[in-house]
Amino acid sequence: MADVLQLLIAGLATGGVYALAAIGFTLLWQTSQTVNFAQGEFVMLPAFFVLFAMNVLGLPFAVAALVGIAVSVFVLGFLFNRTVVDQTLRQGALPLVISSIAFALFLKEGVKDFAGAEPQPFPPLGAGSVSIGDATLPVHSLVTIVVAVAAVAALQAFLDRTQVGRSIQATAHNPSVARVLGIPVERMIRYAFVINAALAAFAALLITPVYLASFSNGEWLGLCAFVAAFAGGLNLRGAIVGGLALGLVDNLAAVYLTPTYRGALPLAILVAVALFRPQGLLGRSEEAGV
Amino acid sequence: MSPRALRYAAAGAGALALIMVPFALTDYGLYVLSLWAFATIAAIGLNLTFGHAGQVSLGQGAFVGIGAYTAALLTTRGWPFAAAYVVAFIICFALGWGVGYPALRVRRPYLPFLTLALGAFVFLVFRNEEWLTGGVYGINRVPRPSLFGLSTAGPLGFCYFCLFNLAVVSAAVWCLLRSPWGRALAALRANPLRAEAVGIDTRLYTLIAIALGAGLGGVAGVLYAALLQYVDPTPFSLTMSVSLLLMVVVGGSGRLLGPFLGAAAAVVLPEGMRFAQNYYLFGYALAAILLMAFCPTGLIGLGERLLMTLARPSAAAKAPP
Amino acid sequence: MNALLSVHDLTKRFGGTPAVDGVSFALEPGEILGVVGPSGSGKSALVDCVFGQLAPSSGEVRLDGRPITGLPARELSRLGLARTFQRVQVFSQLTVRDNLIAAGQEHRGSLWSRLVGPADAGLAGTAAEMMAFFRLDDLADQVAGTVTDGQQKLLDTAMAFMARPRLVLLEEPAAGLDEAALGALRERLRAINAQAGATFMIVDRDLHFVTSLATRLLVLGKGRVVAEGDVDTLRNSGVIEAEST
Repeated sequence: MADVLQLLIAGLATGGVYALAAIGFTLLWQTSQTVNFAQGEFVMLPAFFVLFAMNVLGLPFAVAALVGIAVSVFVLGFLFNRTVVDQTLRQGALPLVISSIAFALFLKEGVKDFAGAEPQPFPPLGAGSVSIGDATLPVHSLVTIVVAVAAVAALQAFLDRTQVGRSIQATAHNPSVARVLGIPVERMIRYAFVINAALAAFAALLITPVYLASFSNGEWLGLCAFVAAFAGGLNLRGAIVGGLALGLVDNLAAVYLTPTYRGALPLAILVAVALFRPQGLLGRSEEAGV
Repeated sequence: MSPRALRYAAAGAGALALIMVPFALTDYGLYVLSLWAFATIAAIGLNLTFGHAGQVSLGQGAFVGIGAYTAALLTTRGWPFAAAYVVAFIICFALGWGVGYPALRVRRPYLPFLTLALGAFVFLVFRNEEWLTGGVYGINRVPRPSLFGLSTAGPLGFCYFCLFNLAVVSAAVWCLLRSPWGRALAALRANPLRAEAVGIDTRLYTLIAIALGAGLGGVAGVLYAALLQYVDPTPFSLTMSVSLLLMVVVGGSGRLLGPFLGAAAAVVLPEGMRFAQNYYLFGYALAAILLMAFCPTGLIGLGERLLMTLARPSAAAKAPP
Repeated sequence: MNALLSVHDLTKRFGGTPAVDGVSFALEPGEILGVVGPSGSGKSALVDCVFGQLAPSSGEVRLDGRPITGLPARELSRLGLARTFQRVQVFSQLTVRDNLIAAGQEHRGSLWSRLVGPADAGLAGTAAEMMAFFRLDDLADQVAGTVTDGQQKLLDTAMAFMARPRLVLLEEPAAGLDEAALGALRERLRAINAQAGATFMIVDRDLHFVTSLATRLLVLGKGRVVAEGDVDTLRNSGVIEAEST
């Protein structure tokens, strides 16, 4: 019983992080048909901003965390969209795909070159652990679940209850129709980039204490974000379900399977989705393949 | 000279240079040239998949690795080198088809993620399955082949072997692209709607391009194993896959000489910039981003634009009143 | 005589509204059927459903009595159907000659022969004939995207005939052509119809052009068949005067 609870909490915690990354990725896809291959690096990078603020600028963790989030949102949300995306989109969609792949490598190598290749420790959002019966649950995992839920709830509230949020939803649902309705689609896309960067920054705060801050974090995290998003069906609800499910399955696999087979999971899931349910778990059937 | 004649002349000069240069190089220079030949072969394969069929594959590094391990496993057990090529090509072709088929069933971009996942899995197999791959210790003492009775064991001999491989692969791909297959690929890239309407099976040709690209990655891997004579998991990472893709793009995707230029920029250039070696990938990625923003047709496209601006004054002089 | 193409109760819905609503008609071999009607009458959706660009919501299409409903365009091409599109669809980056060869190569030999066989798939002669027939000879080596709109249109039409199809759909073949080109096109089409016995469906808003070629008309309105019959009968009954745009 204790094992099940521990596994459940661990799975939901990891799943929450995957879900945050998957939601942002999905939002970008839905609003602007942008595939952000650097999504994993978007989650890797903010941790290094925070570490810089703490170690070089000497700020306390709480302040450094806020600084890290703000800088990430600015650079990866606003700046990236305004400079790279806008300029490259003029050349077409395929150049943008290549650009985001190159951007992922750029961020990864940049962090390796300028912050070192050694994984660095990162402060958790809650120290120690609590005991519930026989189970020992890390406080950080519990905090992760709470923060992830809160972030998703806040996002949902924003999307449902504010004017801007509803416009973003309309854009995500059908950009051409939204344009006809007079919604400033380009601006909604900018907001989507900012939201994505924010979600990724939250995910960074939640996952980096577990993985340690390393330039290579982005590879696995990115892959999990993509799998969660596609398996879910490339819509927001699907991203949440996909992320949580993947987190649970991944943690189960870590316990019961060898590392090699655990690494086969993303591949197996993607192939299964493509062959048996191309539109994803929560996708609409008109979006299935040929 | 007409542009076509100019192009043939340039290619001819390049080929001649490649034949003569090895004699002037040190052992290290020969190693770099051999590495460039290897990278170009892998990039030519990826150019088929991406440049000609428009499919993004992030798994070419995995196919190179599979080719390398296949060669290492076979040749260290006494199998002939030629067999390594055949087996590696078949395995990689089949695997490429195996991921391409489900990927094309999904309407959205899917192959990049499927190949990303494949690469992650394959890397773990290389690193963890010691009984097969030797794990992190790898496979040692991979022999070099002898060609027509001549040994390729030394740096000069093997360098020529690599260039020979490159020549054969280039010729084969050139023939492919001139055939109706090449035309079908060009048509489906130019106008998929019309291609389908005239009976071109776009899915089949795309699948073939993906599988062939993977197969050529395997062939390149065989060469890599014999070049280093040692195979371990480290090189066959996502970084190699991305580097190869960027080589295709930076050189000029869909162009015959693109992979040659891209591989030169990625492999040869860093050797001349020793001071910046560690930062090279960082700069290369940045260069790719800038190219995509301003000149997506790569270095060849850049070169053509330059030639056009230089030729314009004379063209204006020749234009009829 | 068995109809070449028979369409039965074809319907296509986008969301709630039917763009094509229970359309039925038949085509005899060697006929030239004109499909006319104002904008929004469902002409494009109807032909897209028959020729494989769209999957019909319900209904049946038969070729020589065999059902072909919902088959993809490349299958239909192999069965002898060919078409042009309202907006010119050529392979802009290929030369004019390569456009024509590409349009016919999949009907020659096998997949393997297309790799190891001749580079032109044996179609150099046919392509030359086609270029001569449509007066495109001097453009053979020019990249298709660089020729004039009118020439691209002719190329588009020529491409449809490369595979010697049994049934050809021409969508808006007259659009954008001047009087001289229109006359030339009309004459070309009549010649092909006479020599090769090809069956045509012509969809166009230019009533004058369609009626000068077609033997029979199908008049559409709001997705339904409003009238059908030979040109003179419809003219006399005043139907087509009322429906022309």
